[in-house]
Amino acid sequence: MMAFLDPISYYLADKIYYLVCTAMFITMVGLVVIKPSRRLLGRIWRHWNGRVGLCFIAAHILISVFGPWLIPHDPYTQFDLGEIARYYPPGLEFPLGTDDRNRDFLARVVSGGRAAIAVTCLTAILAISWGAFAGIFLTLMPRWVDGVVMRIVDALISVPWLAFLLLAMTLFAGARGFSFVPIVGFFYSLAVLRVVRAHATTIVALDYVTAARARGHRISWIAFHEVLPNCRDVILVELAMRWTWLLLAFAVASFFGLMVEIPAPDWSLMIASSRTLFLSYPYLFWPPVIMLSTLVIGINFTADGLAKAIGLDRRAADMV
Amino acid sequence: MLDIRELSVGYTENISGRKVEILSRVNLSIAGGETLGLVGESGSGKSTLGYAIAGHLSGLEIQNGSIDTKENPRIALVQQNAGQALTPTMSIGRQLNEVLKYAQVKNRTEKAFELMEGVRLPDPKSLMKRLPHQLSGGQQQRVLIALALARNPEILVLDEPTTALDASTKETLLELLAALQKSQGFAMLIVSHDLGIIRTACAETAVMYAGAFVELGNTEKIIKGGHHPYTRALVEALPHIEERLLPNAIEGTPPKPGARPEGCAFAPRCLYAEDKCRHAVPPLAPAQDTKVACFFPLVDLRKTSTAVPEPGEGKERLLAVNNISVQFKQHGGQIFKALDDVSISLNTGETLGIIGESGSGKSTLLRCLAGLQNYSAGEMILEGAEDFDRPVEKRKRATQRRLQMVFQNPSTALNPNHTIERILEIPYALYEPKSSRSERSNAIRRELDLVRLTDQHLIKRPRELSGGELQRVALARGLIARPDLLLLDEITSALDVSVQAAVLDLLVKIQRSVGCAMILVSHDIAVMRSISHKLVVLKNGRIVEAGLTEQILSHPKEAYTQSLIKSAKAITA
Ligand SMILES: Nc1ncnc2c1ncn2[C@@H]1O[C@H](COP(=O)(O)OP(=O)(O)OP(=O)(O)O)[C@@H](O)[C@H]1O
Ligand code: SF4
Ligand SMILES: [Mg+2]
Repeated sequence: MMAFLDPISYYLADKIYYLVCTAMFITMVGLVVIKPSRRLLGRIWRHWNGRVGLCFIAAHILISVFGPWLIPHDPYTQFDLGEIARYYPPGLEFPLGTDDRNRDFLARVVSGGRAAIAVTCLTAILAISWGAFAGIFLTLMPRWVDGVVMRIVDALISVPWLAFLLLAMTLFAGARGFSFVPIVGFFYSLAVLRVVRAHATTIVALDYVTAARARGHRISWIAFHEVLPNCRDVILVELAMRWTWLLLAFAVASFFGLMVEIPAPDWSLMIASSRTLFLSYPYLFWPPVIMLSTLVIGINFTADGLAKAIGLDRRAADMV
Repeated sequence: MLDIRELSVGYTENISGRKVEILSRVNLSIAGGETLGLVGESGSGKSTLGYAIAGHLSGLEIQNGSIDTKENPRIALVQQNAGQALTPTMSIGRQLNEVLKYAQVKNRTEKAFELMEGVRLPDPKSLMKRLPHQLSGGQQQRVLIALALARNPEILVLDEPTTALDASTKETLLELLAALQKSQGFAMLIVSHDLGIIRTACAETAVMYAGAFVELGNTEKIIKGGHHPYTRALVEALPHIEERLLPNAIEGTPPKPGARPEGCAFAPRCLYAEDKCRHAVPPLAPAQDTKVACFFPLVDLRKTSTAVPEPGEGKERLLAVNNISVQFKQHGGQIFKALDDVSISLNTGETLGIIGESGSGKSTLLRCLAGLQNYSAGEMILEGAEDFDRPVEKRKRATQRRLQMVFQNPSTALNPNHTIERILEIPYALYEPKSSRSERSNAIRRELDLVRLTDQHLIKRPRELSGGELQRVALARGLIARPDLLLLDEITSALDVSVQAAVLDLLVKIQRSVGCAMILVSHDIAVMRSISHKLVVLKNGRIVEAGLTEQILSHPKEAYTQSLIKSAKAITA
């Protein structure tokens, strides 16, 4: 079986996951405490999709940070429950019942996003930083460089990412686990590159960039100090948007058994294995579905709200 | 056609829920075929009134009164800042096409050409294929007007339609608008701080201050002898074309919405204010031949402008440009000469004015000097710098430092994400990399002082400052390098006349204290007359006439210069 996330990688993913969750928790608290970002949060909150998105995300962060402490069981332990061989129904001891090996399903659901969140977060960050970096630099390069690169990008972008993944798997037979990150990250960075470049083009045409050139600054200085800060909004929205797409991509790959190796908990794997049982044991099917979709919807809606908040603000600023 | 009653427009503050008025109780009516001019400093609410009429009130609400028009009128709005109003990544032709498609016009290509020719854009075929930044400022503005006319409007609102235009284009554009108005019968509202174009285009004029009309009446009467102190101050802030006089700035700034004083809003800046003015609001009431909102309307006329000191004549040669040419390759391979065999020379401490109509290559010449534009022939010499003929990134730091540029539109020339302090620190840190923290902050304060700004501006960001303040920051950013030569590209054309007067005054004082030479590009002959020492007249990339400003303006030799002066006189007050 092709299993990308072997135990070692899964262990790594676990650590990264905790880092990500803690970082997000701190960010969440920070966002509420620091004034300018509270204003931004407020603006996102004004749109209904932003409100829904923020709630979902907050719930997920709280569950992932505090969940493991509150749940007595470990997701890997197989319980010996006597005559009932498996699929122990929900009760006091196991609020969501047990799965086919009599593992605590609640514990598995709570930690089932680890691999997905850790891997896709890294991938999104890689895709955004590389895509934004290249997109901004391209606009400052001579015209012909831009033309050549964009043509290559357009050609690459029409290759589906799954084909990329399979190709890389056969090329680097030894590559395991986190190979999702550079491969899919590179692919997604192309889309980011196009969006950021389009925005940066409008910035580079402005006089303050010309002024910086006339003063004699180097291109790299201009990219970081004059252009990048003014692309920040676009990059932020891109980051959130791409992350949702990546989560879906990861889910699809994992559903086909390309990502996480059994027995590690993963929502997509759980969905895959219980999809034939969902009439008889619905409690094994719906929880991972709900978790996965609320996370995806949460990030996506927040990105929407963010885009609207920023877009609206911009129009309002032009007005007065 | 358009009838506005007791209109108040504003917004509600987020937290306190306080209602803030931007416009307060404005009354006006325009019939089809008529034109009303609207003058006032920036921030007085002129643009807001224009937007309200066009129905573009995002974020603002109508708090009182009404706007009556006939049902579903076609209203077109030409926005300020042509450069920002056009989509930067879409060719001119496509943008026109989109609008025409929206207006359901059949022969779109033909109509587009017709419109481009209508606003006198040269060579429409090649212009259509270009992106907005490949047009000169004046050309962009005309494209915007063409876009507005594409919808066959019944009411046309023009917000500062001519700021980036030279006198002759202004004149033709105003004639064109008048002709179109005659044949199509639309009502027109022209918003401008330029009393010159208002005088040419509008029979009636309203003067606006702090969201309210302070004077309304016949344009000639208002300009020749307005009765409101503010009207009078605006007229005196205009540069003079006939004499070498420095215009008068109006002290202070207009109050912000929400912070308007009780009583007469102009009282803090008014030379004639008395106690009564600070308590009661004067109503707009007939006084002599206009309607005036003032308790003590002025009756007598007097002039208070001061004469300009002659710029000190420099002794040593600083800059020589010999026979340079710049060519652009156009779509289809033809060569277009933006500059053709141009030579200029400049001594230290002198001001050289470059004047010419839009697209004549004025900005291109400055870009060459700044090393941002390659030239195909000729040479440029800056005393004491061997690498001056190279592009800017190949010049030595010391050479880069000696030449600084200030741009036309301060709102796009300053990075909106930086604080004013950072904006000023960047060039200083670039040219003095070893400077200590306290040296930097001293230098920043020194420059701020020079351009009459204070410490409190340091932590602000560009969007929190007014146009005049922004342009001072931009000037300070150039000056902090202590350049030998300052390149000023239309630096006053985006400013109010009152602020322009202050900036011109500032330039004269800066030159006296710092002693740098300046090259000033402008299409405004009156501005040239008030501060430039030498003058170069450009047309289609070639020099038509060059010499001392006074001599050229009082005895122009070439027919082209004469016509420029004539049309400038025709549209200035
Ligand atoms: N990148 C470019 N590609 C092609 N043509 C250009 C480009 N930049 C400028 N031009 C053309 O060169 C000519 C001179 O432009 P320039 O900006 O110097 O005019 P200007 O005298 O400053 O006009 P304005 O008063 O309207 O600002 C114009 O016809 C313009 O369309
Ligand atoms: S009312 Fe008083 S303060 Fe206002 S403009 Fe007239 S004189 Fe000046
Ligand atoms: Mg120009």
